[in-house]
Amino acid sequence: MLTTSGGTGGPDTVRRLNVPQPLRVEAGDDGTPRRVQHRGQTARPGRWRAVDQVRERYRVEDRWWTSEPVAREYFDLLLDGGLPFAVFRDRIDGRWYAQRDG
Amino acid sequence: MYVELHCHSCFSFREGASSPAELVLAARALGYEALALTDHDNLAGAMEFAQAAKEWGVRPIIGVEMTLRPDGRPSGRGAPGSDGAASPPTHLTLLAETPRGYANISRLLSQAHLSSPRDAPALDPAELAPCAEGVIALSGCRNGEVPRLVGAGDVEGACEAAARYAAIFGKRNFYIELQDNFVRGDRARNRGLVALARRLGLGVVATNNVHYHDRARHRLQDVLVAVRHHSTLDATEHVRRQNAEFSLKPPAEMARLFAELPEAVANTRAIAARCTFDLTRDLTYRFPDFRAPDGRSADAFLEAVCFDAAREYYGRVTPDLERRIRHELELIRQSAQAGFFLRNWEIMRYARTHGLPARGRGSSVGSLVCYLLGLSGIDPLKYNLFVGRFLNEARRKEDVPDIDIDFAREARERIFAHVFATYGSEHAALVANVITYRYPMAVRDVGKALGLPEADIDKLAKRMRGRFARPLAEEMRAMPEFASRMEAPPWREFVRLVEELRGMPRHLGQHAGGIIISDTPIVEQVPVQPSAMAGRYICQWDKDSVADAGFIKMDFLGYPSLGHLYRALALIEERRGLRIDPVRIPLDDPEVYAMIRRGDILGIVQIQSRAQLQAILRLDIASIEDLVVQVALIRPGPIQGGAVNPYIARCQGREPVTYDHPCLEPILGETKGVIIFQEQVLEVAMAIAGFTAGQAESLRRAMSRKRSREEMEKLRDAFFAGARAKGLVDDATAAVIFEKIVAFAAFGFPKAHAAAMAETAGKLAWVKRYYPVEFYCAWLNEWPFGFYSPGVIVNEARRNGIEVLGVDVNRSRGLCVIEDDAVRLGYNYVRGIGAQTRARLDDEARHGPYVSLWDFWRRTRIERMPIERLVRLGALAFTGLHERALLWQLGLFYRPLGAQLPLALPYEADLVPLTEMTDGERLVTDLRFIEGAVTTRGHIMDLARGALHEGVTPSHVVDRMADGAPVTVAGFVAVRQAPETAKGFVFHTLEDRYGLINVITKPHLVARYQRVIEHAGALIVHGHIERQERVVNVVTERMELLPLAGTRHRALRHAAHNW
Repeated sequence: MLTTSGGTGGPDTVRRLNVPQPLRVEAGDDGTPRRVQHRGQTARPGRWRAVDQVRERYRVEDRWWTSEPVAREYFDLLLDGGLPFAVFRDRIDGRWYAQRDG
Repeated sequence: MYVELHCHSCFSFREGASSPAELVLAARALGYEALALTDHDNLAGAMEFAQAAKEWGVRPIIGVEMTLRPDGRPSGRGAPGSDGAASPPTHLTLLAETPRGYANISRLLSQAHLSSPRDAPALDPAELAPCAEGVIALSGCRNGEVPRLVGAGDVEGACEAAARYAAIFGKRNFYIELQDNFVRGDRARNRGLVALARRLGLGVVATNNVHYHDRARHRLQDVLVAVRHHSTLDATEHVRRQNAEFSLKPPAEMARLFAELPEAVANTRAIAARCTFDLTRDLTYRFPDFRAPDGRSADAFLEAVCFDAAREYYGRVTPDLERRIRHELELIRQSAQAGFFLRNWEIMRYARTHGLPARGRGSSVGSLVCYLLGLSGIDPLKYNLFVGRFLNEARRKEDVPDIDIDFAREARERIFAHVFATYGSEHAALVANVITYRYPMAVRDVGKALGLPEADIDKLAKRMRGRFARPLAEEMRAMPEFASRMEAPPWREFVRLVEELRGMPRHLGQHAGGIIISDTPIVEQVPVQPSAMAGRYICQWDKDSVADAGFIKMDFLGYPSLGHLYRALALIEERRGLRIDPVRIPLDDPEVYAMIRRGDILGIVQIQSRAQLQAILRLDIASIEDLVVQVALIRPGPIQGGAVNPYIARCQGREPVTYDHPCLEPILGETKGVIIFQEQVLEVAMAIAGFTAGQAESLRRAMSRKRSREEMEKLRDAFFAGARAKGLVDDATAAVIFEKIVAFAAFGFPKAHAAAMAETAGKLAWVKRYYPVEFYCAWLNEWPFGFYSPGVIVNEARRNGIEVLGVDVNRSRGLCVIEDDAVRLGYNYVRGIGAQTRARLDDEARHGPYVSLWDFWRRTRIERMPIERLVRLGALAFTGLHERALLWQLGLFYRPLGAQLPLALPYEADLVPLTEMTDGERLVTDLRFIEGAVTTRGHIMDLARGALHEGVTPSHVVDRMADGAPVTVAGFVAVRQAPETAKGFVFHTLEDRYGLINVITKPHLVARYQRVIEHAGALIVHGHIERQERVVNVVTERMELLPLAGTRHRALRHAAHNW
């Protein structure tokens, strides 16, 4: 399964801190990420990195009574090479995001 | 495959979001073979769950999630960071492996409730060890002691705690519980728990901590948590569950979730297999044996009591009589219930020897044995009553007949006290009543949780409180300020959540009069908890669960009309020295039936409602037998079953007597082919569908409960299958008959019960006919009860020539008294005068009449407020001074200390001229300070005099008007009704100076005049006459509030009805 994030921000897009950033993720049949396209600190599409370990997988479903409901599945990952990285799949739009830059 | 062992229903109050039946049906659909119910700290839903599970082929396992008090933990060890601080309570999952285990869980729950503050039950963990046998314990959810310590990183503490539980329950009876609800931290904690289990050699088991049957319900669950914390969803993020993963999941999904630890899934099955306790089969309940004083068996003793009584009642025991007695005794012997009958006999004897008014009700009245034991006052031979519905061969042995006894109000309290004193709290408990969410509270709770504006919620809640409220969505669509908002969050969710919440249990209350007694300790059958009254306990089951458990419930109900009757007889004796035995009041006096036929029935229980009156005026009631039919006829059952009009038409000969099938003639002959009595439902089901008596009875029982669509379908299928097999009627006719049965069954009277009710009504009617002063006086003293407010009864008394006099301190007493041929209102009708003041006044009255206000003030020493009220009500008119003058005088008695000593001076000298109150002011004062809209200085309609014009027709003229004539009427709202059976119609009984007027408002006008209907204390109605023989109704075309001088509609409503 390969999902794209849709439009990524161009070079002049200002990114606010802690706003989820879309990214590309390749997930297995069970929905766990296998590879993520990791961008590092740049705005350019990054290179694909393999997921070494899924340390935690959890779901959040909240704010359903508002016009901005939240339904996400989070993964705390260790990427190839030992880099910790957190992603989530938005269960409403089906896309993947990184919660934090880096 | 997987079995769910940790599951909450809505009986985990303000936590679980699905009913036991919803969980069972979901479990069945998902292919679960077994399911455990583990509600928080109670077994309130356990029986409902077990019954539903058995019904749908899912094996029920009974358990609980027990809250444990933290202080019970050995000191010195706690989670890091919690040293010294009070740690929160912990949870532990307990499952009943064996009957002993169930008894232990029940006992533990009782201990938790009895030793804790209300609504915060928690068990001292020290209690666990002696009650651990037969219990399988799981280490609990995130809030279990062991998981919490593991989560906090205190591995040693966790091991110690786990070892302690393992020692209490035994190593193979204590499992480490693993939950993975996709909550952050679940996996890490589970890794820690598995390591701990390996180290201690304990088993692990997966559970899902189920809180709802379907994930869509997670929203309601979120709301319930917010409600529990008296807060909003926004403000409760930290205490709410983070996601929607606490549903009952497909077993395969659970197996996948724990794929790396197959033993955790395998153990769910192993534990389920071990839990062989079956709540529907294994209770050890036993009704207390009766030990006869002379050592005879209960059967022999019962027989002796019956034959002694038969000789006394009938003079001679004829062979016929003997045959019938022996038949019933044999049925009782076969089901080993002599003890039960004798226990009831003891209670009635206690009531009689202590002068407590009591009589049987319900189907037991059809039993000759019950009559001979004094459990009913009705001679079944005389009334042609049969015992079948009460006792029959087909009745399952464990099915206990209901013996229900009505008591006057105070008598009932004394009987409860007597039973608890006799059996003790270990062996007696009151039956619970599950209080469920209704619209207004559901609106308030959901609205608050969603953070909706308080003003909006208040408005909606009040709107939904109205008795004429339609479903929420409909009401909101009709309100412009809501209509536009309903399609968007949060209002869209609001509507759906309110509908989901409605009908869910809120808490356990006390059933009206049910009490269970047990030979084996009750706390081992069902947990008990404290009631509002010290020394009395409520079991956690409602009447349905108690019946399913096979417990013998005795129903002691409050029946104020018995108090009314006995009070009247006491007044007759007091006043005339005439002692009337209530048993001997004649029920065949033609004068009494003539009065009933005239419609002079106000204040007579069972036949006084508007609907009763209208039927009475069209039927020719001439005997107690007619009265028996009459009280059974105007009930929701026959009304919904469409029996009323055909019955009346057939009695009048306007319609031929027909039957849906000739085989029904013997059954329905006595009621002219329509179903009126409950017994007839059973017999019809037997005749048409070939049901046995037992099957028919279970049909009736099933229909008299809250029932699910699925259960109803099952019954329908069985009925149709039976009817086809029997082949008497085609499907269409079977459908017609089944609909009649369904419409009827829930709310009809058995004939025996109707006979008991008619008997009391007949006796009260006799008193009303011959001793009206006593009748009214007793009615006023027994109030509050019944259909009409005291004002209506008082005005009727006046129209019948009996004066009701105002309060007078030289003549009134604590209760109303008879003075010559009039009734003198008592202090019980003065608002703000309590029992203590009444006693004080009664006491002082013995020392002779008061000579002045000063004398009254000095001698009684009661508070200023009640004295002022008495003055305003004219109770000191004997002084010759008017109210304002007396109030001014009273003020002088309270002059500041030191200003002048109070001396018995001629105050008249001090008087300044004050204007006297007007008649209107006096009337308004009566309405303010006398209970129940009683007025002694004018009629309420005097307030409307200015608004009444020549076009308004008085009630006595209305009664003579022709069908279809246009008319305008006006009156005080004596009664307002919108019975469910009336499909949106509203009925008003208006009262003017001359009598009562019945008004019918059709549904479309109810919608138009909703605000008027809800607010009116008095009405003007424009419409036309609808006449059926002697029955006259005004059919509304327009209505408006009747303008009142000096008072508000709200005050009037409140005075009369507490609306």
